[in-house]
Amino acid sequence: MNLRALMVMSLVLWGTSCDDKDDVKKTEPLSASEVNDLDATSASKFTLYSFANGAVVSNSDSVSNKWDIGFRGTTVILNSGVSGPGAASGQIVDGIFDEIVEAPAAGYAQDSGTAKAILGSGGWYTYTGTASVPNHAVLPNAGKVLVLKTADSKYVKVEIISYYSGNPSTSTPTFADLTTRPASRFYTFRYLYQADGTTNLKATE
Amino acid sequence: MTKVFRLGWLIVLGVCMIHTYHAAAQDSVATRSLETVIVTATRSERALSELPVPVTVVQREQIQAMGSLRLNDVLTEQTGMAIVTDHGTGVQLQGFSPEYTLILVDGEPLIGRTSGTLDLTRIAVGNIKQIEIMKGPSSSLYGSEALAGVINIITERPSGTNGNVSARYGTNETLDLGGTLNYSTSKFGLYVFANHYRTGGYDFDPDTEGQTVSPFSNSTVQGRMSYDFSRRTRITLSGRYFYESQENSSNIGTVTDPVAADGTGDVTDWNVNPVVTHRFSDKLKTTFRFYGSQYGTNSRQTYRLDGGVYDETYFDQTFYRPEIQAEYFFNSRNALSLGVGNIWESVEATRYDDKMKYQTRYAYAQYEWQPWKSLNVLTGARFDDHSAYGSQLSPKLSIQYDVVKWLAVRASYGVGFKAPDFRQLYLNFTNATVGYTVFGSNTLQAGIERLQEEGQIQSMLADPSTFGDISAESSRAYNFGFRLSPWKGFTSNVNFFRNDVSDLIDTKAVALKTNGQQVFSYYNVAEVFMQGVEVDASYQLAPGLTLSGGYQYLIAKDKAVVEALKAGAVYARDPETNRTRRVGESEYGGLLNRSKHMANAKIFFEHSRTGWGASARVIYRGRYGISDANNNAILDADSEYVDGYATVNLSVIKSIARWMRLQAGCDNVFDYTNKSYIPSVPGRLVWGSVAITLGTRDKAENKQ
Repeated sequence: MNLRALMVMSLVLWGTSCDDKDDVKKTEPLSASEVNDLDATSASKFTLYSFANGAVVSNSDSVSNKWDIGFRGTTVILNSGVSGPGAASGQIVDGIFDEIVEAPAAGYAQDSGTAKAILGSGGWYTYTGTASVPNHAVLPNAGKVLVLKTADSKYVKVEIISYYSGNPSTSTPTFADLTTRPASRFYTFRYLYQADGTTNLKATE
Repeated sequence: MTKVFRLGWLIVLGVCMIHTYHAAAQDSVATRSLETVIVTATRSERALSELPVPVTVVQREQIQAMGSLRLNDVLTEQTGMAIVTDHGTGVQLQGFSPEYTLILVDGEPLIGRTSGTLDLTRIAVGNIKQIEIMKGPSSSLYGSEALAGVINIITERPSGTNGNVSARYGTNETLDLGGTLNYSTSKFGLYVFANHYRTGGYDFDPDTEGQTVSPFSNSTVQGRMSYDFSRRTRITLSGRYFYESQENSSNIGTVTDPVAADGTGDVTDWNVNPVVTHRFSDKLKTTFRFYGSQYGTNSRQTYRLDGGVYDETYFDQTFYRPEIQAEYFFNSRNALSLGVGNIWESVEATRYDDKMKYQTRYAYAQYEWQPWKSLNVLTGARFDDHSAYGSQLSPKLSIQYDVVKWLAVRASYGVGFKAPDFRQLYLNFTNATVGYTVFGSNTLQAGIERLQEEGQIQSMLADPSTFGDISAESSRAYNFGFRLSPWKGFTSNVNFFRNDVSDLIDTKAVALKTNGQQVFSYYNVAEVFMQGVEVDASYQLAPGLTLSGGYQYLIAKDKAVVEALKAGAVYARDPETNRTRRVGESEYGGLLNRSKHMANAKIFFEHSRTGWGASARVIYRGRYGISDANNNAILDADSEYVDGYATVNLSVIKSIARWMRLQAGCDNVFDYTNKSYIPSVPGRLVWGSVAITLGTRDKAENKQ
């Protein structure tokens, strides 16, 4: 591609992005947010998160409706059942984050004593053990999207992207080598929160 | 069912008894001299050119020119055969894992597989007359395991009175000593072969405890005796004894907190095979075979610090089989073979609760028909009744048509099966080092209950009752090809193949243990297909100078994955962003460990006047998948492949005065290694050998 073509293209792109901005202003904006390196390293306390506020909630508020989801190591909890006082519920849906534009009507579960609503191993992640390279890695399963009803009955979809600090590529020798692998228990995930209470989870362009 | 088999025995015996002598009939279905004769396809000597099935024959001269020591050395240079390592060195045939290929020595199966692999390094090649490789299912004759094909090692027959000793030494302190002894009179023949092999192994990672390949040594003694009572009756007795011992060391602790352990292991394997053949007439030939074999291993690991026992295991397998076969030549164009037999197998091992036993009763029939001189038809079927999982019928039909003198077309259809083996039914094994557990399908329910009572189960991942009884894996195979020899000295074989495999046995996690490891068991699940084409060509450029080449194209895929891809339900993580994306149909690389492209090119030179000879061989294995790295359980990303590679092997030979042969060679000349992913390729190997023949070797007297 020559320089002139590149310049023309960037002008076009710049032009269209300006148009997009105008559109967004007209409609109710709905877009995904990404949370990077959420620290879930505590051995005892869950790191709690609120989708409505888009922020971490202090663990001292664990007995409240202020949080929706919590992380500790590979365990993911929802504010319901055995995990919290709220009525949050959720399920894992097969598909691609952007393509899940409607939350399912049914199939939501709360955290119970026998099983968390969001299953860990075999649910959102796979632990490779020594069966495959990279060894002993927690890899989020591709095509698994968490669709949740928050503590205040709003729908949100979540894709867990990484369990390692800095969202590293997991197919490199650096990652495969346990001595150079970035620290684990750091979540990177993206989510789209529908504040209006409908099941519509389609991002506006 | 018992009655049916008893009847089978009676019929075969009866045919033998009542038959009276008939005048000689020249049969073209039977052997012709001077041609390459093989036995694998029909269990009797037949001319290779008239067999409607694809068979590759590797002759003794070629094995000698290559300077091969063990069976894997020979097979790795053959078209379409990949040497793969999984609990031993095995061979992949038409894309099938080693467990689906039956390995025979003089028509009798070798036993003793670990995780399905029969270690090919157990087989010395110094006494091999030829190796017959028959691709495509052959369960119609051989029953279980002959799903992908059969490799039949035909050993030398007593011939003349002579002897031979040889010694070879090379890289990695690899020493091979061998000798043969031949004695024969007009009625009696004796052939004895002995071999000792020792290697120091090698180590790619000296910083860690233990070697990449640990030192081992083994010894083989094999013998055959034959006696002709009359022109019509012959008795032969063959046997083989093999012993291997190995030493190793390993770190059973962790990287940061190492705990050294030393281990020893041994393998013992013997078999005995008396055969009586009697020709009631030129039309009727009967063969009674008995085959008994035993295979056992012992291993022991002790702590280096205090000598305490860390792990101790044993494995003991037996196999006994009487069989009777009758061949009837109606005339020169029709021949019928019938056979009936019974197999008793048992396994006793650390990994099994009790001594496990199988019994298989079987009968087979085969018909060879030559309606015209240019058309050969071979059809047959075998029925196996197995004590543990039921019965199996394996038919086969093959046709060859000689269109013109230089072009023959052949097609075959066959069904093959592999019975669930002992481990798949009865295993009760917990890995001492890592801590995972594997149960056979019959031991699963009780095993899980026991672990639950002991409080070892954290959570169930699947309902054990959904695993159910496992049935035999089976394959329907289609082969179509032709043989071309348009010019003198040029021959070429092309074979297209397609295998549809169902009920493939796989493992699945049943439960999560409190130690973080899983409990696995076996179940029938996958339907896969393997298809491709194989091309072989050889051209004699000048007397003593032969060029040859081979190529295999292979596609091996899981049908369920192909369906899921079509439905757009397979995902992967983008290696850069780690976000999910959809995997397209074309991205699927198929089953792991299968190379789409494999090729070889060889040149053999022999100058009989001066006694010089040489060979150069290039063996290429295209890239193949090693493991799923992007966590979608299928092979799709580039990082999941290991690069293709080629090895170049050279050898030079000089014969002196017909009684001495000096040879030197270099395998893997360019020192190709891949320490992380293909540790089984040792790097460059340089070797030299000397062989001395005592007495004369008379080929014309070569007895069958």
